Amino acid sequence: MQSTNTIKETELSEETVRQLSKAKNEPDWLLQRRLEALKQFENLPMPQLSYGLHVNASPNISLNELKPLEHVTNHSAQATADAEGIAIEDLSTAAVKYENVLMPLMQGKGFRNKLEAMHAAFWNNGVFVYAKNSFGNSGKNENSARAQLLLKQKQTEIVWVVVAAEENSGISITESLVSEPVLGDRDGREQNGKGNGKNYRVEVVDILAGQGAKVNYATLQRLGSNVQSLISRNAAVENRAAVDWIDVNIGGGSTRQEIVSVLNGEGASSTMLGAFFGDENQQLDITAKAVHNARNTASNMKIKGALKGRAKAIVQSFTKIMANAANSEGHQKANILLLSDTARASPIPKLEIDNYDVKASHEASVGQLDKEKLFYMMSRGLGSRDAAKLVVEGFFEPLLKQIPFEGLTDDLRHAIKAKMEDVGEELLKNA
Amino acid sequence: MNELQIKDLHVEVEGKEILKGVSLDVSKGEVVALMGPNGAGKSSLGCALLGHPAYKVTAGQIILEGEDVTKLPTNERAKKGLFLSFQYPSEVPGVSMANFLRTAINSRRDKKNPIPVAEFIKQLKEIMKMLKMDESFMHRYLNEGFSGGEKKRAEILQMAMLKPGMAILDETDSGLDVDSLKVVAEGINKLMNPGMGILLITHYQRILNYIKPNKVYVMMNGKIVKSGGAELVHQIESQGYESIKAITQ
Repeated sequence: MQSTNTIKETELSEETVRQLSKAKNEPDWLLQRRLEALKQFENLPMPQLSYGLHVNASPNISLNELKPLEHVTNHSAQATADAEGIAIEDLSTAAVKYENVLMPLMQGKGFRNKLEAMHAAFWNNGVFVYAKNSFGNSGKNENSARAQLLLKQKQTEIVWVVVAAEENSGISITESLVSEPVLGDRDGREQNGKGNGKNYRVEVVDILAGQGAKVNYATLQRLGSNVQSLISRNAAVENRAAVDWIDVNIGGGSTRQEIVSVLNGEGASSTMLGAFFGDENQQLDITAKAVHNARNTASNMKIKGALKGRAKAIVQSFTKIMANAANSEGHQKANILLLSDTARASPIPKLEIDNYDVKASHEASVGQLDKEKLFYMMSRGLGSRDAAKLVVEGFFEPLLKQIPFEGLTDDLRHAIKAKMEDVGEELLKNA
Repeated sequence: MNELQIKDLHVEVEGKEILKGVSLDVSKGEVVALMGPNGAGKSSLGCALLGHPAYKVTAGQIILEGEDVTKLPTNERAKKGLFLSFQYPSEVPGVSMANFLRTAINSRRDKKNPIPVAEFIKQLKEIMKMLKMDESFMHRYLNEGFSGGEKKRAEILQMAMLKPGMAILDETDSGLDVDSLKVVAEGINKLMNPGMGILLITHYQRILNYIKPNKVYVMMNGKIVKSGGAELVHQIESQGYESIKAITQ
């Protein structure tokens, strides 16, 4: 009773849904989708946001603080595409123009909880990326087109990115999440704790990779420490299609995200390269999941992260191979480096395999800077800080080498260097 | 003048005394062999000389070129010309040999005057050639996946690039087959110069067939029990450490 009353007092109402939809000139079918989601939103329970055995990361979400109407502009995502055959549109506008494509894609899924339904009802910033079937069957479609999304954080961002990659198309998308204003500071987090108030980002990315399509989706998150994020990225991967995720988390106050690839078609594959570097009081709750739902499918998830200050991370890797996925291969690896005595990490590897004709592996580790390594490097003349910096850079390097976007690796290298500047002296004393 | 003077050095590890008053001298242009059975404290001396945090000096002094360096941090000792070739070098994934060495060289130079990359690469290639190392080594991650012999060569390569005034070579011969031992020993002989002293720590006389020591110290149970010329090596070779033990007792 009480919670229903609280919600009625907030912006999360039917009136808001109608206003949003009207401001965005949405077609009626889309408004109806929002209203259906609203009904579920009212009835579904909140998800469990606080969990973890050794490490407890709990995003601080108060529904009555969400203000979806505060930032309703079309094209607020600065988006550019550099090739023929690629369309980037505001999602609401695209809902009219590409109705046939988007109607099935924006079908309300079975929402698991109140927050998922909230997103579908109240999203205020949408982008549609459409890679059309213009590359034929030459097979030379990889990275043949690029799209860039620059998403600037306002008080409440409820974002929906929909990507449709048609048969044999190829596209690389880079998504850059920043807080405003970015004043060329070290990592886009200049207003940390400086009273910009609590900001919210609720983001859903839905990718459909049609037969033989190749989609590369890279995210660089450098949000301010005042931002609470709930992020869900999903890919449905058809026959011989590939979806490759790159996910870099540098900023943010509390970030809870899930990246899921469902390999629905024979020969489908997905990789996920994740890197994070948390400091101060940052909290990260990252889930990477691959679901093998067809024969000859392959997945590989690699996550590397470093934490200092009082930062916390829960990293869950989940490989699920269904009974119908013979001759499939799923691998996962998570390595976390702790750079302070107060940082906490908990990697949770999980394999669920229902077919015996498969290959699967997992590896997870949490470790501190190796003092012998530091001594070795210092014996060559390096100061303790330089030695530590080099070890941490080296820790990320093999992963960085696999990221095919130079700009992104440069940004990450820069962020690692910057975060290493003030590594605590107590850590370096080798005691 | 003795460039490295170790005076009555007492060292503890986790409260246990490992070195019980070690004194020895190494001059520039001189190779001094430190021999002894396993567990004598030879490698501990190497670690203590470079200031490994687990090795606590409870008494005595380490004097380098007339300066007491006993309390200096590891990297400051290195900058003053002390070098340790490790028995078990650490692996540092993600950091290439070239990147590491360049960082190490630049840590000794003025910040505004780093070594020019071309000059660095030229030097590196020359020394790698001398040590019969493939050039690809410079791009490999520091010691990662190196065989025992490759690690030892890489240590000598670092010594050659850093040009120390005083090098401590800890069991540089262990893990080397005969051919590799020859290459490494020849390399050390070539690198030897009047501006450098070497303290060669070894269990076996094997490497001393190739590198002739000017002086030999024998260490047992945390103490120097005997010193002398190269003839000591032959005595140990033929009669073992037991013979020295018997004499000293």
